[in-house]
Amino acid sequence: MGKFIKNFGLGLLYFIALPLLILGVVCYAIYGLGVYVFYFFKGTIRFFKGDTFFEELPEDARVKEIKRILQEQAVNPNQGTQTAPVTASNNTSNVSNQDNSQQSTYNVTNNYYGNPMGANANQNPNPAFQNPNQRIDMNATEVNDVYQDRFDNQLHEPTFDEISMNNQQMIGTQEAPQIEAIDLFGEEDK
Amino acid sequence: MEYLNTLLVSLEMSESDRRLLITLLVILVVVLFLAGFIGMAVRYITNKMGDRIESNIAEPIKYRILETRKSAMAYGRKKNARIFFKEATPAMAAYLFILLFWVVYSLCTIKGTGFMENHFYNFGELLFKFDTVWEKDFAGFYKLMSVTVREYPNPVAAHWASYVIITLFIITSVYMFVVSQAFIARASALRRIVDETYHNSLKGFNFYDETPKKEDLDRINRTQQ
Repeated sequence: MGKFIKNFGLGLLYFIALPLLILGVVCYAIYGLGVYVFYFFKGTIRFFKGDTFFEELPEDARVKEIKRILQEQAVNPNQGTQTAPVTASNNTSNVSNQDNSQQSTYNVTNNYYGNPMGANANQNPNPAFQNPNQRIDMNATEVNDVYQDRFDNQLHEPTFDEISMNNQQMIGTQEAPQIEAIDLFGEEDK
Repeated sequence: MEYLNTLLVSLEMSESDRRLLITLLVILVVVLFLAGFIGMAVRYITNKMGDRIESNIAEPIKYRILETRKSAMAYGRKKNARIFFKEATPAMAAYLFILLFWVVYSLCTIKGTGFMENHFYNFGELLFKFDTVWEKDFAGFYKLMSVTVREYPNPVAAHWASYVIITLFIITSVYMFVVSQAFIARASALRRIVDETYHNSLKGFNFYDETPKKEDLDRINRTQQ
């Protein structure tokens, strides 16, 4: 009985709200029509240029790349170190295998601490060099980190904090940037 | 007591009043049932579309490709628009077909009179038409006195094109309504999911709490071993 009354009340509520609902949906349908027209013309132009109707989103390309690496690792675990690096090709997924000369090996530590340095902080940071056939297990997040690192290394501009950190490390050395003092208040004249 | 008797007498209804009341009640129940059904359908579509957009944006978020709320929203919006495009394409094709059908049919009629035809009016021949009689009662309210059927469905063979065009138009519009509602449902679900995923919470955090947590101590102990 309670359920019936609840349904009845909901029906009444929907009946009252129905005009508003329809109005909202119609407004959104008009917006959707605009979206449709935009995508239609964009896709048609792309299609006649010889591309796919929808361009592949960069995020999707990266997901595909990560999945491919994980799959390769699962099938051929001994090649973990060779397939793990991913070039920051930004939307292209076929460069990583061809561009072996630019590939570098990454040390991705799969330890309990979830930290690449973790308990192995004092050990050789790159065990892959000691045993090239060693399997390096990476989960999807770690693969993406590798991907992101390479992406960042190629495209990333150093932030103010990073520059500041580097400068602090160079204090007292000849490489330290020389900053000329600006005499704002004319102290030297006094 | 006498007043009560008067009231009881005044509530007495004739047979026709009773029938009318029953008819109105039935109509009310049907309308409420229909509204409830539409509401249930809306809720069903909302839940289903929420799951759909969630599965679409799950992987880039899980792999931490989308690092900020803003980028996740932008990605989700693009995905939502693409899903809408794919779902709306049959409706758009149907609208185009209806338009072409109407133009070709109208051109095929004598001197193009088909362009002047009122297809909605012609479609009305397939429906019941009612006559209602309203009367003002002593309190000033209008009371429905009688409902009679004026016209029964009476299809005319010459108006076949109107029946096809309007039937297709109604079906396509209902489909488009559902697709648009799904578009809204995905957009709102996207906002909810992204808000939950990128919610930076202070739950369990106390600024003045300096007691080290057990897992931190365990980690330090393990590191020192």
